[in-house]
Formats: sequence, structure tokens, C-alpha cells
Amino acid sequence: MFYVKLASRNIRQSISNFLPFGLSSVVMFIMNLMIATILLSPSLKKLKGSGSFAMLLGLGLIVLSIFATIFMIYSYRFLLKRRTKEFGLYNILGLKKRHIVRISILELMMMFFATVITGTVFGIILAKFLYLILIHLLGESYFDLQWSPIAVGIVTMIFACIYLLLMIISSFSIRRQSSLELLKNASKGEKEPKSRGILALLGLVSLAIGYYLAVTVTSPLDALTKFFIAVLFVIFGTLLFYLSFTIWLLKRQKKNKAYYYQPKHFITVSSMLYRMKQNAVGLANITILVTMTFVTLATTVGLYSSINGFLDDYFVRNTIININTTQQRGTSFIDQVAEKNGIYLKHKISYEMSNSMIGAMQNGKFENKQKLSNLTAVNFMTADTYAQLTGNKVHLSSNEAIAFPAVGSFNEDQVKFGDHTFKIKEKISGTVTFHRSA
Amino acid sequence: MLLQVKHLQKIFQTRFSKEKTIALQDVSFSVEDGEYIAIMGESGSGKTTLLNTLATLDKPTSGSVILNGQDVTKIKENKLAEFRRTHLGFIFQDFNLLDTLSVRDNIFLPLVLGREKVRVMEQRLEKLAPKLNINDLLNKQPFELSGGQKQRVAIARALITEPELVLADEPTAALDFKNSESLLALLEEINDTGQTILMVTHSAIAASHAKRVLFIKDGRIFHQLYRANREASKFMQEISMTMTSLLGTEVR
Ligand SMILES: Nc1ncnc2c1ncn2[C@@H]1O[C@H](COP(=O)(O)OP(=O)(O)OP(=O)(O)O)[C@@H](O)[C@H]1O
Ligand SMILES: [Mg+2]
Repeated sequence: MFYVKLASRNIRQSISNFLPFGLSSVVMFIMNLMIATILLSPSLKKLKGSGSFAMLLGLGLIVLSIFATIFMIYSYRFLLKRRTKEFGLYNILGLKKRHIVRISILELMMMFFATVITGTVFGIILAKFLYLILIHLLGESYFDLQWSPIAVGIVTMIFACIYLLLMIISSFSIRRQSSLELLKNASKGEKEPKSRGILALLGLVSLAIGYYLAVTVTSPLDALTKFFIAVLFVIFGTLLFYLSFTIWLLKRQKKNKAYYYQPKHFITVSSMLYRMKQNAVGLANITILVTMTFVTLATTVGLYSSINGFLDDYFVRNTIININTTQQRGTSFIDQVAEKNGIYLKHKISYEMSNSMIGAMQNGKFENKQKLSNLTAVNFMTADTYAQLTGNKVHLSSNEAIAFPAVGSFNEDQVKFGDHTFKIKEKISGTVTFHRSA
Repeated sequence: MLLQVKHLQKIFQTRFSKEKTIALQDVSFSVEDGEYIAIMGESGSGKTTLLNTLATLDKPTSGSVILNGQDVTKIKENKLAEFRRTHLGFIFQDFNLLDTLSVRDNIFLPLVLGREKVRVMEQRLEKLAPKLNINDLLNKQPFELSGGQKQRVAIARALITEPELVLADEPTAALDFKNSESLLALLEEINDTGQTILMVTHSAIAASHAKRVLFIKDGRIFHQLYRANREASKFMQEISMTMTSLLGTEVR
């Protein structure tokens, strides 16, 4: 109980030291929990394509956990560095290392529970919010996101592991140093960092691989897994890049005496060398976070805007009216209805086509077999309609036809209806933005 | 006899290089109860190393340090912290107060770590505070204090455990002349109440307030002076002369 009191007092007294760590811990927890809550919510299953979406979220959870681990270790080391003097003083003034370790573990446990509690509350609130955005993006209408205790459990487990790692780090660093070293830690001169060319190269290579993988993803089938691997490569590469490549580069600059011993370079290079060592992980984390935000934003905007493009492609007109009659009677009927209701018709396009002939093609015949896989639906049209739609004039002689296969494949040269055989003179294939006639 | 230092030797060897530094070669001396000893020497002569060894913060390569009949160099690692708490008081050059604690809590810190009763802590502080003239500072935070005030608080923290021996490493080095003077006078007063003090310094002024001065050079005690009943200023002259001759022999 004594140590619990001491630990909680430590946190309260030096809240300014603990706050950045606590904040990053809570934010990481919230981010993980939001993803996990949506992933495990039963309402996700109601969404179309929930399978691949769940997989995406699952991979996202893994990436976020890795990121959270790196980020938490970084901010904890930052905290620990500021606290070693205190620990050293405790040791000199009469607290065993074992007990100091116990205090630091208790502090971490308190931070852990605080994280879980605040993180759960805010995580669930924000998950709802995120879910609403998601639903809006998908254009669905299931607004019943439920908080799931399993999601909280999973994220809590992930964070328990992270905190366990932090406890190991802290007890290791406390036990390794003597009390004098601990006391002097804050003012201790940092050794000049070593440059590690191999790591620098590895960082660059894995960055290259990561971005190459990400850019070359084409098939939607392996997009998810490939992209996931790419993300891992990029995270790994970015960390290594900041940890070693920057230092390697600065060291090279320092070796070049003509360059180094100029006032401008002298100050920047020498101080950058030390700062990079302390802040490499921080900078890498920021870079990764920014990259993630960027990718997320870009993909979201890309997907969302291309959904609209997709719709525009497939539904060129606002209103399509199909009337089963001749063109003349059809247009006059529509005009009549429009006039009666006071509607002004704009950008009118009207054309005449046969009803869809549906069946499986066999030697130019529509066989009415119930074989869905090779079902074809074909419309036929007059030469006038063809000219109107495409702007090309054709002349149809007798027993010639123009076909528009709307569904399925249609590669016949001729079609037979009973005893009549028609030669296919022209074909409109695919979706055409119809030529606008006046 | 309170403290007995016998043939202390300390050789530093860094992990990565084979180069050895002999910080203490062969140091022997003893301290009686109630003494106020200053250890003087040039920079790099091994003063801090010696003090850290006495403070059980560093293990000697060989030799022994016997405090009240117990060889402190033989104490097990996990018993050291407790030993320091119950037997030693520390005054540092750079105070080492915790900014996160109030002045009062900083002073209580060693007692809190030793799980002393609150009543006892308050009683002891009540006795100490007026002597050190820190009554008005108790509710402040360390960053609100001047250097001299901080060091007085640090002294209170060292004395509140009622240690057998107070160890001080250049306690006046971070202070200006006036603050140093009053702090040294304060240490003298504390010594007059029977508190044994061992102080490391390279300033003749600081050393002149002690009852006995040991001179250390190249890791050896090579001379000592007793103040007897002299004025501090008189004593200082002799210390200065000794130091000059010490330098003189070295420069040659
Ligand atoms: N941790 C260490 N590792 C290696 N060498 C050390 C270490 N600490 C001290 N030394 C060496 O031991 C010698 C004595 O150092 P010490 O700090 O005891 O000197 P000092 O008398 O306190 O000097 P100053 O008056 O400058 O504080 C020096 O040569 C120093 O370089
Ligand atoms: Mg020293």
C-alpha cells in the first residue's frame, strides 16, 4: 500500500511529465478501440461487402497496434529519462532498487488502468461517430453500432502487452544503472551516435519495397494483403531511415572537413547529430502518422469520388422512361403528361428499340434455356435510332439488323427468329454516352 | 572512532578501452565522532571518488571503509539503500531537490522512503527548521528558491534522518561568495551540536571552516592540518600556503 501511495503521488506531483505519455497512451487506445468496436459490431455484418471490410479493419488493427507499441515505447522512454534523476535520488536516500522498480511498475499500472477507463469511454463515443461517417460514406442506413465488450477486451489485452513491455524496459533501465548514474542521467552527456550503414541501407530498401508494393497493387483481390505488407514495410523503413540513415548522412557531412568547418554547417550538423539520436523515433512516428492520415484521406476521397463517377458513367440521364409503344405515340404521350403537370422537359433524347430478347445464344438462335451463366439480352433497333444514337448513318437492307447486347456476350453474325434469318449489320457494344440529338 | 578508512584503492577501467585511471591509490585516515573534516585537492585528484566510496555509492577496488565497526564495502547490494538511509546524510553540489515536491516534502523524502511516522517527521522538522532558517520556505516549491536557500533545504534533508555522518561534495561550489560564507557558518554551527561532517572541496575558504583538513593528491592523502582554536581566516592562510606548496612541488 505504501508503494501504491508513493506511485500515485508521483503521478499527481509530476503530472506535467506524465501527461504527454498518458495522452499518447489514451489516444492510441482510442484509435485501436474504434477500429475494434466497428470490426466486432454485429451491425457490420449487415453491410454489403462486410467480409473484405472486416478484413481491412482487422489488418488496420494490426498496423495500429504495431504503431501504438512503437509510439508508446518512445513516449515512455521520454518520460523515463525525465524521471531517472528522481529514481537515483530515491536510491541514494534509501530506497532499494527493487522497490524503485516496484514503484515504476505501479505507476505504469495506474497509467494503464487510467488509459483503459478513459480510452474505453472516449473510444466508444468516437467509434459511434466514426461509424456514422462510415455509414454515410457507404450510403447505408444501419445506425445501430453497439459497443462490444469483446472489442474492449481485445484492445485492453493489446495494451496490457504494451505496458508489460514498458515495465520490462523500465525495470531493466533502473537495474542496469548505478544510483550515481541514475542521479546524473538528466545531465549526462550523450555519446555521439554510431552510424550504421547497413541499417541505413535496409531502411531505404524497405521503404522502396513498401512504396513499390503499394503503388503496384492492381488486382482488388490481393490489394488488401499486399497493401498491408506494404504498410509494414513503410513503418519499418521509416523508423530505420530516421534512426540510421539521417545519422549516417550527417556523419558523412561531418567527415567532409571543408564542408563541416563552415559556421553554418558546423552548428547545424553537430547539433542535428545529437538531436536526431534523441528524436529519431519521434520524427519517424510523426512521419508514419502523417503518411497514414494522408493515405487514408486520399483513399477515402478517391473511393468516394469514384463512386459518384461510377454512377455518372452508368446512369447518364436523370430520368429514363420506357414505354411499350411506337416512338411517335410514346413522345406525344410524355409531352401530354408533362404539359398537364407543368413540367418542362430538357435535354430530351428519345429513340425506339425492340424489347430485350433474352436467351442463351446457340447458332444464332435464342434458346430459352435456364442457364444463367450464358444468358444474353439483346435489343434491336432501326437504322434511324442507330443514327440518332451514334451519329453514324447506316443503310439497312432487308433481313439485316442492328443489335445492342445489353447483358452478356453476343458475337453472332446472324440471328434466327423462327424461319427468319437476320444478318447483323452493326452492333453497339458496351455503354455509350449517347450522341445528343437536338 | 566513527570512521576508519584503510588502504583504499580505486581503479577505473572503462568497458570498451583498456586504459586505466587510478583515482585512489592508497588512502587511509580515520574520523572521530563529532569531527568536521574537509578533504582538499585539485581537480581530478580523486576527492569525489573518495566521497562516493565512503557513501557506498561506489565500490573500491580494494581496501575497507569501516563505519561504527561495520565494513561498508562488504554490505550487500540490496541492503545498501537502507544502510545509507539510516547512517548517512548527503549534501550535493547541485542540491538535487525534486522540483515536483514542495520544500517540506523534499525534506521529508528520506523519512517517507523509510516509512517514518508523520508525527516523527514533523517533530524533527520543527526542531531543524529554525536552525536552518527555512521556516518561511517550507510551503514553497524548489524552483522558487535561491541557490543558498536550496542548499539549506538540502542540508535539512540530510540532517532529518539524524545520520551518524554527513557527507558533502563541494556544497558551496554552486553558490556566490556571500551565500557560501553563511552556508559554511551554518555547517560549523551544525558541527558544534555534535554532528560529524565530512566535506570535499577545492576551496581554501570552505576548508578553513573545518576542524581538520586532509590534502589529497594523486590518489593519496599526503598531508593534514588541524585548525585547533584558530580563526577561520588564519587557518585559511595556512591552507592556501599548503596548497601552493603542493602545486609548487607538482609544477616544480
Ligand atoms: N566513472 C569514471 N570512470 C572513469 N574515470 C573516472 C570516473 N570518475 C572519475 N574518474 C577519474 O578519476 C579521477 C578522479 O576523479 P574525481 O572525480 O574523484 O576528481 P575530483 O577530485 O572530484 O575532481 P573535481 O575537483 O574536478 O571534482 C579523474 O582522473 C577522473 O578522470
Ligand atoms: Mg569532484
